[in-house]
Amino acid sequence: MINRRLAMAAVATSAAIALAGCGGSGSATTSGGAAAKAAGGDELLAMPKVETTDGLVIDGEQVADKALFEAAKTDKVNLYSASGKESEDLTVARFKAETGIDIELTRMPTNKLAERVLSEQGAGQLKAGVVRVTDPRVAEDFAAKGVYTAYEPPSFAELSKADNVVFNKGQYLTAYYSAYVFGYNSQLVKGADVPKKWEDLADPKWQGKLGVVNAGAGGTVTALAHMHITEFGEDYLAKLGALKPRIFDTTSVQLEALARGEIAVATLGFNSTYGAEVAGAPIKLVVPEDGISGSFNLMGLTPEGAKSPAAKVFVNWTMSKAGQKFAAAQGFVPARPGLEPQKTGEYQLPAADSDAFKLYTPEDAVKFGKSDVATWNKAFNYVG
Amino acid sequence: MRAPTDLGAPTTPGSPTPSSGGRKQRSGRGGWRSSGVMLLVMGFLILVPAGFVLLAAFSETVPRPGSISLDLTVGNFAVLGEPGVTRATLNSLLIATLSTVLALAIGGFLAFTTARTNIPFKGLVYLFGLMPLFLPSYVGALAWSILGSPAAGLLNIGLRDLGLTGFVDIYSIPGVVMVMAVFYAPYAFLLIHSSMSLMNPDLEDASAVHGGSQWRTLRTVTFPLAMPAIVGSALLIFTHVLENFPVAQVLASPGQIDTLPTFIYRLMNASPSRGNEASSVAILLVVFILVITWTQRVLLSRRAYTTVSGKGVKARKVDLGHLRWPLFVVATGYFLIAIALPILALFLTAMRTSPYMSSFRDLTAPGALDASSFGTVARSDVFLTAAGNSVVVALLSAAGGTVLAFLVAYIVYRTRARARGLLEGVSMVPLAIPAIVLGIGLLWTWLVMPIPLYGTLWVMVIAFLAVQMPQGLRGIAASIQSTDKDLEDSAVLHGAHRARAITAITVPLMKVGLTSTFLILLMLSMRELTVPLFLYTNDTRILSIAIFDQFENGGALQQAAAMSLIYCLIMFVLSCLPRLLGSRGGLNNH
Repeated sequence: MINRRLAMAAVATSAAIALAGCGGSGSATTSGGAAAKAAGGDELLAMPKVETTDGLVIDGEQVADKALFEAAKTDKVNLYSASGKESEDLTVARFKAETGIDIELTRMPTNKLAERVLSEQGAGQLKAGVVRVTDPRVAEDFAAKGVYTAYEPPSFAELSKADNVVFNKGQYLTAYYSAYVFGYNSQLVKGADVPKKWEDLADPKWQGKLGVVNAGAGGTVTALAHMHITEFGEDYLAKLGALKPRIFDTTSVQLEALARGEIAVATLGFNSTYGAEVAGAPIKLVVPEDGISGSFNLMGLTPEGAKSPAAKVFVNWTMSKAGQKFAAAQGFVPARPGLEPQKTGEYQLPAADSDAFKLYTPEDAVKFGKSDVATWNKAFNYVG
Repeated sequence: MRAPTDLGAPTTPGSPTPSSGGRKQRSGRGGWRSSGVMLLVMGFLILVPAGFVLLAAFSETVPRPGSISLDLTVGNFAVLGEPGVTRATLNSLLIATLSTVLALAIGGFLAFTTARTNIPFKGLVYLFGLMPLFLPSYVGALAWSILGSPAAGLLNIGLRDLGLTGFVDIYSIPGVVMVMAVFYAPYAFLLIHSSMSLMNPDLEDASAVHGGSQWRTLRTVTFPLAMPAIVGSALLIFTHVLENFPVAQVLASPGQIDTLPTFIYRLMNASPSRGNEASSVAILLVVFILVITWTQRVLLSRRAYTTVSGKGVKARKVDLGHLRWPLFVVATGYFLIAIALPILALFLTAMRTSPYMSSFRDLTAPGALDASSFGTVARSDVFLTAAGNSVVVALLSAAGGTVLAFLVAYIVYRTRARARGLLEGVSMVPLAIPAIVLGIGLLWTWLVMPIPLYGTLWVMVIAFLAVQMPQGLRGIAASIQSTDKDLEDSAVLHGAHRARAITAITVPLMKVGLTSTFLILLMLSMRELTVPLFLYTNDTRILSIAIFDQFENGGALQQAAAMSLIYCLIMFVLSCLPRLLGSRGGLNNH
């Protein structure tokens, strides 16, 4: 008899939901998501000229020779990334649009990704062809444990000219730099209230309305903590901490909270926030005049990737002018030297070698990483 | 007849089954053979992953495949002295205690009114008690964060629309307690309902005959008789709340309230990862749960609570009088909080074109609502793959889990096999290990195993079999204990082979118990989020993970909300399955 009651419950409620659901799907559109649309078309950046008669040539630059390109067409890139989901979706869609090669993304926060990659690697079951992380210490650990294998994309000579781009003879590369800034909900914060400098974030008016991601969550946020400490002192962090900000585990959840108006201002990764803004979230970014925190977005080919033509094309493309330009268009700072400045929508980020760009180097990470996080935790009374 | 209700029925492991006294020994010869094989299987499923966690707690480095270190240390336990751990422990215990009390009050109220009173629309109130089972706690928490977040929560926006200051803050201990209690109340409801509706009225009649008032009879006879169900569900709810990760992560973390599971998650996600210390905090959680289990055993083993006899009985009904309607309103209030508001919130979130809303008046603007997200989500590859995977995994693990639980229960309760106590103990181990930690242990186990199951759906099935063994065993145990052994023995006496006697007699007799256990396991598999969190790969995403991923990693609340609703719908449809299976025959056996 209970079975019958159970079934009644199921039927009654499923009917209610089904009715609601049907009402919903009636007017469905076939659009495939804002990211794919924005990346695949000319919205973010005009599509480059792609020639495929002799391998893959994009804007006159050879990205893959004929043999590699032909082999890659029937292959698939398996990308593991700790880079922001929004921007990684854009990149993946753009790569697919420019090269026609299939790609699959597994996105996880840096630490979870590291645990996963090292476990898979230890068991000889690493599925990824390319692994992208935001913490130099994690990349170095990957290199030491054989997750990364040396590989030279066609632009290798060019890349070698810059500092901090090629590591361990090409075992891993800086794909681009991430910029960390701040932003606000454009429906809640207007006119004179809009913060312009880092100092403005410490204003008591943001009591309970500020959002931050905990400094231990990944390379980009540790980099930001380091910049705050070295440029403005521990006092600055203490002032932010005194505002009782909402502390998040991931940037994505924080972005959603900012869009909903749960918080009014937040320290933000430039690229992921820009992606959300393009997708229609009521968020505006600020490129503060008193410094932008820069951190590494590192990428390497795995032994599995060395066997995958598609994975190789992905690395080639990422380091090509077209790939770098697209990265800039969505809010990264290109790693490849000698490129023209590229606007990101209405915003202009400084070049990698400019003074305003405070880069958190792998040496900084090794030297200060632990103490920076500890200082940050203390200032925000955070346990982690 | 008894049971989805028997989920977590209090059992007294190790003690001889009642009335088994003078029976002759069964399967004396196969004593070690069958139990030994099962012990190996269960040990492999459960103890190996648990062993990895234990090893991690005492190791210098995280035991990863290829680098298992045997340099043991107790240094990881220093983390237990950190003020953060103390705070997280106190929060966890406080939240678990309050949630248990509240869940018991809600579940007990609904159970009593539906089983023993003349509350209006009794069938409907019964449904109210059951329905939250179909809403995974992660989805419920997500919905409540949409409803009750302090600045942008829909309830607060509504209050401000009415000219009041918004005052709901779900990111607080009362908020977390409310959501936990609301979503775990069905456990109390089902157990207590079963106990109350099957109660023999003789004792209550005796009380009434001797002049006891209705209230006095309830207080001194009815409720004490329902004690095993009340204590059993209290234990179950307390342990579930204590180790609940999704609700705490979605609702407690934003308010900077750490619980032990979120603290463990944080340690795992620290940079660099502090997996060893996370494991040592996990050991603390295990200790708590062992203490609770032991307490329950001591409490319940002292007295006899025989209330169900072979005779068909009709439980006494209490006339609520003028309280009938007010109590119905209270029950409806529960329905609103547990189901209606969360579903509406998800629905609205899935429909809103802009994530930002300052007033409900915004919804009247042209283009403010758009239902296309349902279609987009339902047609997306992510959803289709995840939905298919979820159904396959849930069906396989529920079927496998039911069979395993039956085999274990049979050995434990129907044989004198030497290892039966141990077998039961091992099967209950997952209850004492937080899912978040067991998930990691399972990841390490199946990465190290030479059998190439990692990255396939099978590894999910195996993980679910391990994690849900206690629930499966409890369901089957209650059923097997209430099924008479004499019939099966008669068949054997008349020359049938034991295996044939089991399949021809015991299994059909236990049909309802088996089906309801299958249903419970099916639902649990569909809902499980924490364990697959560490096991999923690109190809093996299941629905719960897909939703978590959408929100936690993608910040795509709209898609997550749309997918959550479709997810619940699929669960309702699946819940009809056991009935379809059951109705093909055999229900009349009872």
